[in-house]
Amino acid sequence: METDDTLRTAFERHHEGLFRVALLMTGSAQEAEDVVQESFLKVRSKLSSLPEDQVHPYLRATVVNEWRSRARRQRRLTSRLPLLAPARVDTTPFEERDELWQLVLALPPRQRACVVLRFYEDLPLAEIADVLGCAVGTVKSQLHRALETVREGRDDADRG
Amino acid sequence: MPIEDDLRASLRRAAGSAEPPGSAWDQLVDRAERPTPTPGTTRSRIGAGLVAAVVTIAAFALVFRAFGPPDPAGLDEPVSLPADALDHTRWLLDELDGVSMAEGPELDLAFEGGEYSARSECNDSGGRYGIEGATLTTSGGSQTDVGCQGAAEERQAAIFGVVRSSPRIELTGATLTLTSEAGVLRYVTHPCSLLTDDEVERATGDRVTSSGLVPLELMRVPGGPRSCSYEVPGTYTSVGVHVQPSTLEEFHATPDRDPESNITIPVEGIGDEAYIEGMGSISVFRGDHYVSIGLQHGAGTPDVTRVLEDLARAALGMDPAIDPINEPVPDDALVIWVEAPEPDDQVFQAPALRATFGDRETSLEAIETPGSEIAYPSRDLGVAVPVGTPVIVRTDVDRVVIRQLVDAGPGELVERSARRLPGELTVLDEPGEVAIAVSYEYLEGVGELGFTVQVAPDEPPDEGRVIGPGLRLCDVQRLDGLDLFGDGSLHVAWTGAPIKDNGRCPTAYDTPHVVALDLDADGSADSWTDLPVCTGCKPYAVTDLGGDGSNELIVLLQWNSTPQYGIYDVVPNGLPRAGGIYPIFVEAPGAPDAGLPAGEPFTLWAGGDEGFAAAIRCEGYPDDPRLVLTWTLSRSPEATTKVIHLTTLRLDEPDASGASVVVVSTSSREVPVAEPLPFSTPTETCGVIWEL
Repeated sequence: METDDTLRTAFERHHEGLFRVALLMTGSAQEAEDVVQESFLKVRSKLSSLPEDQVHPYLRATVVNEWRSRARRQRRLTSRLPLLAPARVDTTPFEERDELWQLVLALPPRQRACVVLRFYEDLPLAEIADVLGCAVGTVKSQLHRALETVREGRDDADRG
Repeated sequence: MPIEDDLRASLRRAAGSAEPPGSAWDQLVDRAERPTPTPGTTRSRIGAGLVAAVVTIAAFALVFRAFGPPDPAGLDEPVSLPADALDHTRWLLDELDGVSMAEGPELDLAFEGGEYSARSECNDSGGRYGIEGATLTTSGGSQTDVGCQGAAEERQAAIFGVVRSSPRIELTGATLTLTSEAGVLRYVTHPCSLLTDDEVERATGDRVTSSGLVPLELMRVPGGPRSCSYEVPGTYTSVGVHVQPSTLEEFHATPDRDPESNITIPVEGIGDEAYIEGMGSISVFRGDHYVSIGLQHGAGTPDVTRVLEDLARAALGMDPAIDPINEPVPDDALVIWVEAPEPDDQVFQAPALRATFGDRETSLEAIETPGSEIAYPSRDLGVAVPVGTPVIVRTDVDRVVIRQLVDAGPGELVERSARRLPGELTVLDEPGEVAIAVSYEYLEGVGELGFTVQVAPDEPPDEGRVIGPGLRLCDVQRLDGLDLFGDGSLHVAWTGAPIKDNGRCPTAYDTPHVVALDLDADGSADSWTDLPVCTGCKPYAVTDLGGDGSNELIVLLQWNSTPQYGIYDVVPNGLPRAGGIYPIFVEAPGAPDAGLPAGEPFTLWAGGDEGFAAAIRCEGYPDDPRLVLTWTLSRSPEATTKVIHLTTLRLDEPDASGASVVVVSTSSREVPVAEPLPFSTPTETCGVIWEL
């Protein structure tokens, strides 16, 4: 079927790259794969109508927003239970994680997405704003905050 | 190395720290064939033993409670059911038209007090119900209206369609099947169904030590284990319970647990079978302690009030900090919930929530926590007040919702839409000065009237001011008549907060601000950049700190006890670098000991008070200016010495790259605490009269 062929082609081309973007945001290989697969299924019907050069950006935006949506849902759930936060299921030993990545994983979701898109995907600010559906100024302020937080975290670690 | 470069390197390493599964495509195909694309990633791995146990318990309990042992005859032909056969039961959708939903989102169906509620992936629906023979009848009802598309929309139509089309009921053991022309829904007993002590004891043989009925709510936590939440009977407090592996060995083998942060405590009153595990920053943020309760197989239903008390005393070393919300609910009380808005672009905007309930005032503080944007000790602020109590709410949030909590039985709390107002409701603006008109939006309910109070400001919302194409600012400060390039053309500078995505002005005092500039002298802003801080900020002056004939813009960043200034590079159009306004950063290596680390935006202080003192002066201005800064900070009232820093800087303004501040020399010396700074800020220096 054409749609499945298109899906298969897109999957083979873009799956690994998207997995790595999702991994950087989620901190969990399992959740990253989950988010990426969910995203492929969501855009499945649209893939055949997308120009080739738009497939990756479209999928990437879907992955980022799927993950942000999950993070938002999770926050809502945990906020209903002030005494409870879900234990993260992750197979990566915490101590083996890169120090700066740990700091990135502690950022609020939108800041985290900005950092990954800016410093891993090397996207210009305007494209990040498109992905996140916000103003360029918001991206700038989010990145500024994020860098401040990461820098402070690193300085604390250096002192500590 | 700048943090940006470090980040790039770190993220590249991290991105390669795990590989996607080799069978990813096969998994995707499997997933595409399932009825819902959202898989349960934890059901089979975490808590399977206990979930199974609880399901079994619940199934037995419900069967015993409602009907006694299941009747095999019921498998073939539905029998007439008692009118209350479904009352006080909760179910989880297992199959929809023969398609398994076991790995999909948890869609439940509950019957309580003559009312039902059904859930699709997108919406909730509810109304009154009854049983006539073996037929479920429903009437009235309401439904949320969240957009639903594709397969989810079809499933929603089937679920709500069956429930509302007088389906035939089949109850066999722990299974509820509803059949009508609209489809077939097969539900299984919800793992966190409502259990009474008697039911648990009858099913397990264990003596239950709880204080009564403990409603459980199963929640799906993406990426985490299944959880149930216990509502503490008679209070507004809930406690989450993770359904964990059924043996302690497995429980402690759960990945990603930090042994140092775990506290395992036998809980008084429920024997050795229940344990509390404390995780996270409990010693840092008391309102942010993360707790999960691991239950071993065979544990009874815990007395959650006691669990809370034990936890608070033993793990946190304090009495339960759950007042004032942990109070008995007066009969027929009204509860005012001030709902905090979703932090959107204003993630650092802490909504000010203060409310006076009768003679009691309480407040809600926002706490920034890693990974959760803004967390609240309690996201909703609410207390119970008897009907007739005057209520004053001061808020800058979007709406005030009034709901009613009803004591619907022993230890059971049901939240419903409120049917009446408290005696008097006053909504004030956040400073508490201006009364805000309140409008009431009545919602049709089933046999009751619910309403939402919308806060409607007296004046139109502040939508900011357009200062240039695509740039709408709030809290605008303007400085006119700036000869930026020494050519006689006059420019304008502004500071302000960009408008929010919703078209309104932000209200938080620490909202990110920008400084904007009219580069082509047409009175309209065409360039802008972020300010690192703004507390009463404004464009302050222009002066040529680089000695190249073009001016820099000085922005007053904060005007409190000690004014702080930022220096901004103004680049005309036509240079190799795009024209615009740019922050000026400290060139490496900077002078970290003197508070000028490399790569940071350059800011300075010209005065000070109390323990902090600073001064600036220019040397060689205007031909070859050097900026000399000195400052000191008294470390404590008892200190006998202090350190005075003295740093000389020059501005480097190459055409093709950004301007930067270069440290020419720096020194720090420890002096007696009474020693003054080596100089004071002159009345005018560097062509600027500085506020000290």
